[in-house]
Amino acid sequence: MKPGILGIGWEVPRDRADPDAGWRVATAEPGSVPPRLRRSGAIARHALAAARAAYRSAGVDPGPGDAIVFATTDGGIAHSKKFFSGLSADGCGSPLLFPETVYNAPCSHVAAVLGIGGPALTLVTDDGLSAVCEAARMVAGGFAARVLAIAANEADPMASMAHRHWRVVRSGTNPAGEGAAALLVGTGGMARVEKWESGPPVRTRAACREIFKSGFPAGALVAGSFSGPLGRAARRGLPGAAGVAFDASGVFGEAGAVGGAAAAVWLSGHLEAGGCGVVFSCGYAGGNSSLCLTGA
Amino acid sequence: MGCVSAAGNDLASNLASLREGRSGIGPVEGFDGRGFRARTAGEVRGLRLPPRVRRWSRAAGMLFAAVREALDARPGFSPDWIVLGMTGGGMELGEQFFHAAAGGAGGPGGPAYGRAARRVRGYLPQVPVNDVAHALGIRAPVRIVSNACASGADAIGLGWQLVSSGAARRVLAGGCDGLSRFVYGGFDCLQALTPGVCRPFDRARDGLTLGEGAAVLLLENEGAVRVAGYGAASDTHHLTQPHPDGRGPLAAMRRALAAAATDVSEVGHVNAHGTATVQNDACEAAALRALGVTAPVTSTKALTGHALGAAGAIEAVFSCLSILHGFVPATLNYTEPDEGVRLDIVSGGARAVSQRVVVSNSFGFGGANASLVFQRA
Repeated sequence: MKPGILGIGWEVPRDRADPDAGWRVATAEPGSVPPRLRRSGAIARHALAAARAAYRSAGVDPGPGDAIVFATTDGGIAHSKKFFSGLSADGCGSPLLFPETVYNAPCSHVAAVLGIGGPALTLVTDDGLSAVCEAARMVAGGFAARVLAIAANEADPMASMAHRHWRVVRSGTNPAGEGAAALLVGTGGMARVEKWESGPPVRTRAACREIFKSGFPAGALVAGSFSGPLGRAARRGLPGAAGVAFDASGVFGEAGAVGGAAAAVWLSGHLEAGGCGVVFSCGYAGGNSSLCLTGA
Repeated sequence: MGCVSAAGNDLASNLASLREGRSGIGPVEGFDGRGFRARTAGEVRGLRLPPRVRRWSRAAGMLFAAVREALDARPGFSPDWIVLGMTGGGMELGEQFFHAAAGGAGGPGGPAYGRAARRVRGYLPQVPVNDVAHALGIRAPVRIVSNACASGADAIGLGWQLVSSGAARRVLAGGCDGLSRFVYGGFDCLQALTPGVCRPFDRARDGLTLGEGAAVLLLENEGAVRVAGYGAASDTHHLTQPHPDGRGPLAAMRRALAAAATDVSEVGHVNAHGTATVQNDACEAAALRALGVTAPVTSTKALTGHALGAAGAIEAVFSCLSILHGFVPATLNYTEPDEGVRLDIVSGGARAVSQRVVVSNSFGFGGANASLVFQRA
């Protein structure tokens, strides 16, 4: 059975005042954050907001048997930094912070708040589209009837320092960013997933130029996420690269795994009935995936 | 299979430790552990690695050794996929960068910063995996599963899904994690570590002992032992504490047995998550009783320590070894039964049994629960 996109949602950065600090998602109003998330980092709040939007868009409630595939690149990096600062300064870290540093903490919060008791898988990756590919695989293989694919990341100045060193982030052109994107994958819905594929990680720019060389069908709507020197090389290697209708970095900045899933969200929302579209994602560590959709 | 743990640096030495009940837990040596309540860990020692691999993170070095051992035993195995569980990646490289960027050793302008910044890329979990694959000539897509202490089991479960659904013919699946001050300090501040001895399921248990290691399985549709089923479920309860009635573990085990098309009466033994914390062992025991398990139950964490993202993979290898060699390893340091546990805990030495089916449990922070079923072919 072909998987389909039932609903989409994202949490987009709005605060672009200081590109060097990163494009940030506006802080949620006090009171709108569930008690479970009161100590969590921004990443969990972004993920929850995008997940809720995806269910709203699908017109369904979260089901206790739904599964989650959650992708992140840096996880709760701000809490990790705070925890390590405390550990270094006092020799004792905070027991409130440490659990939030674990990569699957945001996914756990989403599952608990929405009451989703099925399998919940956290992937650490620079290629957020891989979460959507995993969700499609689980539905197609009969391992889950409905899977919520989420990608989320939070911006942090120290992570940006590292990213600048690797030339992922370049001042003025592609600032650090944050946010979340979510797709509810099942059967039917607004778009059908025709094909999905993840490739071996690539290590050089020359190799990146080759990964998507098979290109896309004529007339296809193209969306993508191309991060860091490797991702930018992959985009240059796309046949008809100028035809990329949506590049996630223009909306999210360099937000790690968010880009690939956000490109899938955008494409799902812009496909006309019967129209064909392709999503490409290549992250700064060379992780890469592609996904082909048809509008329903 | 390939396996590196505190109980041994290869399969043969791990098997010997399992049979003889030889623990690899000792005083912490790999980092400065002063100031912590706990003082012991299951550290991997004396691993022989090529010079360039020694420059990688601890986790990457152990992964390299485990993958090399597995591939040496199965020449020509070329995986379509690599699926690995990991919780910390190259955490010690992240620590060095945090320290330098926060002002240590002269801060961002200082000499340590440039060095730390060059190496911090290895902190990302996918980078060491990519490096190991490249060094061993493997070209395959990679998935890194980070589901806390269930990561290794979930990775093997994902690998099983890929092979059983026909999406892949061969998968390299497992897990790895290296100890670091960050992680040790985290568990210590939660008071989850025992200041004494790791005693899974014992009445006097008072916490876990951390460990490290790497283990991988080469999955395909043949072999003497096969992964027969996998089940996962979320607690939807607390970030660090398991739901007291064990509903998540119970759901995971039920799904795994159903996927394996087998019944609890067929189970020869259970390799429990058995961390030796008061709450985990009580919750797991409740789930096992609710499932109707009467088979022997063991926890091997007092041999290896709790290797976090590697634990599920190491215990998967142990489960396969116990099927192949017809024994159930003993739960070390188990001397006094806990009235709240009420299970047949194997103690006082390995127990010889002929068994066809083994269940291996792994549970983690965030209410992540995974169960694997292994079956003799």
